[in-house]
Amino acid sequence: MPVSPDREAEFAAFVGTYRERALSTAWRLCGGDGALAEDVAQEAFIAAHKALPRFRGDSRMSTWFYRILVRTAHKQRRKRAVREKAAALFGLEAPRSARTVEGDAPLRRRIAAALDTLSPGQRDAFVLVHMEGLTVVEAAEALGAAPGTVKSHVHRALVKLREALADAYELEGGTA
Amino acid sequence: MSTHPDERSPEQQSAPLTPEDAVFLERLRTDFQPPPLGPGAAQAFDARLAARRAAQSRRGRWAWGVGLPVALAAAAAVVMSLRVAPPPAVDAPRALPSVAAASPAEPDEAPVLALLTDTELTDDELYPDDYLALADALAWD
Repeated sequence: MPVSPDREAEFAAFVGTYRERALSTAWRLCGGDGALAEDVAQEAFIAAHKALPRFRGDSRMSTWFYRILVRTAHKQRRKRAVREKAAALFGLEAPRSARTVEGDAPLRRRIAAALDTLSPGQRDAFVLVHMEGLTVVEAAEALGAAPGTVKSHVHRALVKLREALADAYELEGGTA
Repeated sequence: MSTHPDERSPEQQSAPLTPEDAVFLERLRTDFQPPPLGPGAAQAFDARLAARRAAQSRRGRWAWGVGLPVALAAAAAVVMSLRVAPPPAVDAPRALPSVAAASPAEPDEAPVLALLTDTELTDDELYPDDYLALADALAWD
């Protein structure tokens, strides 16, 4: 199905506007793995472009794109998990980008590890709402979930993360 | 897309935050953010995106031009082999399945099955990306 030139132009402008934001969201969804985040962002833009003929404009392009981005992040994270398992089972060298946190700062590694303990639903909801600044309704649309479910995920994620990171912040003199 | 989380109206937020929660979240956002894109990074990203799209397009054409005919030929060969295979003898005594025959996996398959079991995926979730990822993983060396 052909895409109108106007829609193509809209999408090209969207990529320019959301490139950095997509990378940032993907980076947080992927636990700070920069290489994986770039893969996710690029695959999400490609998937969105392929799906452009089906975008009817009922929601904002950004909300529609977030849904594709989150789904792509799931897929890529699972591929990474399978590769890591395969590496362990077959004695292969693990992929270089796996589980690396940009800058390798110890606190960022702690945070990435804490995010990793959340369920996928909790992590996605928490990242979108508390780190990327989406409203609960926007996050619910992006995740294809009910707003109540997103609220619940976000609350549980916050409780878990505060527990997991309490000592890290206390050591730094924080109040958390 | 949205404003800063702390600037949203209460009904837009997930739940009322305690002051400690707000401090914690602010620090978390500060401590866990990606490095800023350097100069030229946007153009480099766009160039890699264009290259990836072109590569996927080439692979798509290859799949239709080569992969599909090969798959059809293989399927036809299987059908032909089934048609020419002799029917089983009706009177032949049926051997009871041995323990070895009932083994769920050949030796080479066992680690693969273990891998898929370890990932705790359901049957619905296995196709097709996990197998593709597995194939990628096994092709590393």
